[in-house]
Amino acid sequence: MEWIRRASAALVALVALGSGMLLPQPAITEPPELPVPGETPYGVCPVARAGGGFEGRVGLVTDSDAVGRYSAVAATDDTRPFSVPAGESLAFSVGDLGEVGFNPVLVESAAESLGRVAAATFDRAGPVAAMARCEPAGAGSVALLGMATNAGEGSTIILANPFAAEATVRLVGSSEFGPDTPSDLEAVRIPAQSTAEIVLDQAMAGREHLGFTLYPETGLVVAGLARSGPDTAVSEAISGGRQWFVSLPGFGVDGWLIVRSLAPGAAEFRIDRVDPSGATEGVDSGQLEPNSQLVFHLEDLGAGEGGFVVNSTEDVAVATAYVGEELRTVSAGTSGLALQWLVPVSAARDEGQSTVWIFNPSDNPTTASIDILGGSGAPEEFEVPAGTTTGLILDLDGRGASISTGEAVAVFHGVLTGTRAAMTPAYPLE
Amino acid sequence: MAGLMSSPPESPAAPSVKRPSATPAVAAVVVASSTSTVDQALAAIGRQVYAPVQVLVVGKAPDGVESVTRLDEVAGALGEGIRFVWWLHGDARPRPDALTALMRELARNDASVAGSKILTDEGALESVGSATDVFGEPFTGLDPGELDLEQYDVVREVAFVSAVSLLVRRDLARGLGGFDPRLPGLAAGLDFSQRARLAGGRVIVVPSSEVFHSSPCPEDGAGWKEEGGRNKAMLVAYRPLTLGWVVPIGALVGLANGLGQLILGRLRPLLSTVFSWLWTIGQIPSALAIRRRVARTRSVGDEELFRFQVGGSVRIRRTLSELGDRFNRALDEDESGSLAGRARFALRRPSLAWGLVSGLALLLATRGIWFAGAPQVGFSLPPGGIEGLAAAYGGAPNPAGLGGGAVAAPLVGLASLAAAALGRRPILAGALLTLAAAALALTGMARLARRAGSGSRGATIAGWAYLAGATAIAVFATGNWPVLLAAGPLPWALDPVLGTPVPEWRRRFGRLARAGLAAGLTAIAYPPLLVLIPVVAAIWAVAARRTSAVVAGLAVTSLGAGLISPYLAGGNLYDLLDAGSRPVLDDPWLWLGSLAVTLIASTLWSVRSRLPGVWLSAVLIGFGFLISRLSSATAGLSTVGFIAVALGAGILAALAVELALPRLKGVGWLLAGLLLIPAALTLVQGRLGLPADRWTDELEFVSTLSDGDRPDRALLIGPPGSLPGRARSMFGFEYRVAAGGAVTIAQAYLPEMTDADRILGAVIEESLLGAVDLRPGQQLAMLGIEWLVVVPGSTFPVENLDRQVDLARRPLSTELLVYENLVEPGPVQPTSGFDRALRAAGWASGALLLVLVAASIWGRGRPLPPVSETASTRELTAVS
Repeated sequence: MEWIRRASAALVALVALGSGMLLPQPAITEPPELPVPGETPYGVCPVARAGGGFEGRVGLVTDSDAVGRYSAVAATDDTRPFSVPAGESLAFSVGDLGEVGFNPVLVESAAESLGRVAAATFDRAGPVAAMARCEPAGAGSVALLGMATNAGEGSTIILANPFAAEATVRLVGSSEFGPDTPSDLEAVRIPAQSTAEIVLDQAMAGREHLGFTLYPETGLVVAGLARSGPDTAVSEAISGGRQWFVSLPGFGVDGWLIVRSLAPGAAEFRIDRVDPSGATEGVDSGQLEPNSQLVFHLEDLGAGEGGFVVNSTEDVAVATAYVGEELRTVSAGTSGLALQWLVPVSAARDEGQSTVWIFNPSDNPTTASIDILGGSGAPEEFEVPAGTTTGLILDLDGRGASISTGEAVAVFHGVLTGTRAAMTPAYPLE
Repeated sequence: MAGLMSSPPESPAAPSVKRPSATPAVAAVVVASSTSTVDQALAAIGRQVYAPVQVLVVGKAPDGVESVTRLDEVAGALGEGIRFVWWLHGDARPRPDALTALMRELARNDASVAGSKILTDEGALESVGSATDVFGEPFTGLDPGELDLEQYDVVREVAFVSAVSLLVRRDLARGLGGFDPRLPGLAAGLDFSQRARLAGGRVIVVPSSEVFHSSPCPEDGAGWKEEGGRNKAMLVAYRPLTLGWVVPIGALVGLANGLGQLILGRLRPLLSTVFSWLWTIGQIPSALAIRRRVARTRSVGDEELFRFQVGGSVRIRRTLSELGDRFNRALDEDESGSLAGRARFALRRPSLAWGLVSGLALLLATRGIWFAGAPQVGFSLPPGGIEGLAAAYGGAPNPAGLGGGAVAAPLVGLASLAAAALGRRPILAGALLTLAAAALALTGMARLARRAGSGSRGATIAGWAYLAGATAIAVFATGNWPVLLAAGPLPWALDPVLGTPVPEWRRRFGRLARAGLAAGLTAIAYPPLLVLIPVVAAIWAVAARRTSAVVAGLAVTSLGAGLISPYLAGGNLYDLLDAGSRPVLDDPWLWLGSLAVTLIASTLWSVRSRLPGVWLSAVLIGFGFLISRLSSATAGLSTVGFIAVALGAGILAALAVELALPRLKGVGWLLAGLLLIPAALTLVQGRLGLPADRWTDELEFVSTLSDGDRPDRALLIGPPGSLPGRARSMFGFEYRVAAGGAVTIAQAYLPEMTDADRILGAVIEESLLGAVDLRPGQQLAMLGIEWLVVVPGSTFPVENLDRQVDLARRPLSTELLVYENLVEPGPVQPTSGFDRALRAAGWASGALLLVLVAASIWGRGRPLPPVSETASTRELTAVS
């Protein structure tokens, strides 16, 4: 009995200890997935301009009721609220936020906003006009294409950082001379809520085809470029894509198609020309090394009334640049097709002819229905033949527009002011 | 049997012997006191065999007796031809042969000063000459009430003799200037003896000269004055070089002794030291005058005084001895045996040696805390202001709350009180609370192990196996500082549960009150641990077949719970159980294997009387571990289970040491040693198992950079377990709000969820994670949040913070990502306090605390007298 009594104590404890060891331990529960940030609730217009003869304007459109605020990038605490109902557009003068030359503007959607807000800038100084989209900052590299510093040409890079965190970027340039980067552009610091203008006229004079890839090192920036000469052209920085659509607006001047690699490795590409007959013909192909670009004269590619489609195996950026005696225009291609597009800004009647270019790469004709936002009339319908770029002069009078088509198309908008012109891609709605 | 053999001085037994005319003439000088007459002294002088030729009274004298009023008049009043002066207290009654013996031995030993053996009326020894330490503290070597058995009857040189009966050559007395009239009795004798010795005289005690003396003597001064007199005697006697070190060290010794006595509950020694030095300063002019006289007669150096002094400080040794005895009694509670016996063996007990070793080990194990304070990590947080007491017991708001009502954890009150008591030194308060808890755990567990049947050898290691065992360390490693504090008093709370009932009701109440206080401290620090008391009581009732244990356990638990009544009534106990991290044993097989082997050996080879203890430890270990491993167990329940295992391991280690294996005595120690391996690692670590500091000064910028008019709140975000105190969880990371430059224990536990808390969650989810807008700072400002602090390493996507316009990154920390809110925060709605009913519960707890303190003091019963100062110091001397 004594031994049983003694052993029972150890037995009880050992059984309990053993059971404890054998008990399944609470499984490590995986935390729920982090919410994925939705649509970027803002856009930055890096080339908005006021002062120095320019009267810049920012136009806003939305697919549904939208509220938010806008402010100068350098003074984000001095905000102006806005409200844009569905079917309306809004434009405000950059000069209201300060006339300091390039004055990048931050347009924010409020959390309670229902619609997406699309914005674009229209810089005008007499017959000189320039248009560019307002874009959010991308975490990856972007391209700045279509600059020149030769023969009276000048180019400026504008870096806007509206955020509370300081940003540092690295710029890698290339021109017809090959890799072409001044050492002081290898690390550019943009303090929080500030703008940096990098004038390339002197340091990089004599380049006819100059482009840069911008790599964000810390923080985020939104970049744009301005090309000056007899005319002014502006463009937002272009994010990478593997398929690009380029319209041919028929300005009647020399035009170039620029393809720049944004990939860390070599990128194979092919350029197809789309004819009004509906045929698609490969006109060029090749390989792009990282940080390099190729510039094609549009005439050499057999440009006609249609457009071009650029396909690549890695991310590339594509833009067109038109250079005439007085005309300078730089426009990004569109990296996709859509059935509905928004035009955020346009010229007033006395500023020039508001124009929309619709590139229909398909082999079927389609009808485009154009609704002038805030207008009283019914939407107008236009035929867009297959394989063509159709230019339409509209009486937008400073308002935005919504364009719907039966086939997926690429839409660009701009203004014609006699011998000068401006063009930029419209906003596709998914 | 000297006392019995001695005949009283009044008896006519002493034969009258005529003094030869050639013998030296002696004058008897009787110093009268204001409270007694000198009649008996004069009568005794009249019966002296060696009759003084002159009798002189200093003070009030009977009619017909020559007298002077002051001591300094004595020299002038002595007659011609007087060669020796016999000083006597007015209440002294020398035997008829007392003067004869003094004269004889003075001449035989060629001495200058001779003192008598002083006896009390009961025949006990009062003085047979004394040694002193260098500070003049007498070292008599006598036990209180020690009877005269002629055990000291040897004529010898001593440091000083009592001024009750002292014979001195007249020329020497004249040269020395007599007694210092400003000194009380004992100090006067010391001072005179030292001056006589410096003048080249020998100071002897003549035990055959017996003098009876009333005690207490009216000539003796108050304690502080005697101490001051000794200080003055030092100033008079020592050369400047000696004074250069004796005086400052003497002052420090007095202070240290006073503090030691304070621990023993006596304030008077400390005050006495302070007063004595103040008095001494006032005596400096007089001391300088006497020094000048001494300089004229000095013929030997200080070394001559050192010859008759004992080493060290008598007072410090006495106090240490008493502390040691008190410590022994606390651990062993062996209250039997005589006082002398206990004193004699006090130094040889293992508990004392263990106490010293354990104390050193504790200092080693907490060295990091001493140097840098308790680490600020997890729930190891410094106390806040005294408002924490109000938050726990009076309903003050939680500064980190967002408007919800809450009863702060009771620990908040205790820690705040400690910080306030230490003059708003939160770091020091945290460190002292930690050390006090550790000391309580070590001593309490030793005591509990004895209750569970362990011998004193086993009890020596029980505390370390408990406090620094693998399971306890696993709990502390989660930063659960409150559990460390609760683990300290817990064994003391179990004392009446395992202890044999005391027959005396008063002592029984006292023990219950003390255990109730300990249980209350446990509950205040970490309420869930209170449950272990009834659990242990139930197990012990079965194992030891003592149903009274259940009653005691329930009573103690109830008393402990009563001290946290506001929290029990209005707090969120589940929140407490759910707070913190679940403790994990890194390598459970090693620890559990050691426990299992020790358990088996203990069950098989323990003597029968120790089996209940083995049973108790077995159940605590087995089921504590089982509960801690339940998959549904919260962090708090696992913690309670681990502490139960720690309790069992402590008792088991103590019992294992004393296995009944006569031929394999080392086996028990070997097994116990296995259980002590984690303790060794704890010593190396130096933080008592607490994790490394993470938050000290990290948030200081919050208060230093914040505008005084703006709330200084920070939103902290980090990986699970990285934030201070309790945090809320979201998408694999945690967040919480902190107020001020340091997260205090007052903020450790979050108040209940409110709408504002839900808004904060939504802001994090939508603005910081979902990035629905660019202005999360504006949202945070509405909640009064000025800073966002992100601990790297969590799932929180910090890259989102690059894409907003009102949270600016600031380089304020190398470890943390700090963002300042550029939007001015709005007003903060503080956490609301609690209602009147809960406030009444707070008062009730306070009243119960007072009752328990009073009952524990009252219930100590008749206190044992302190360990004999003389016996223990003699023991020290013998050992040395």
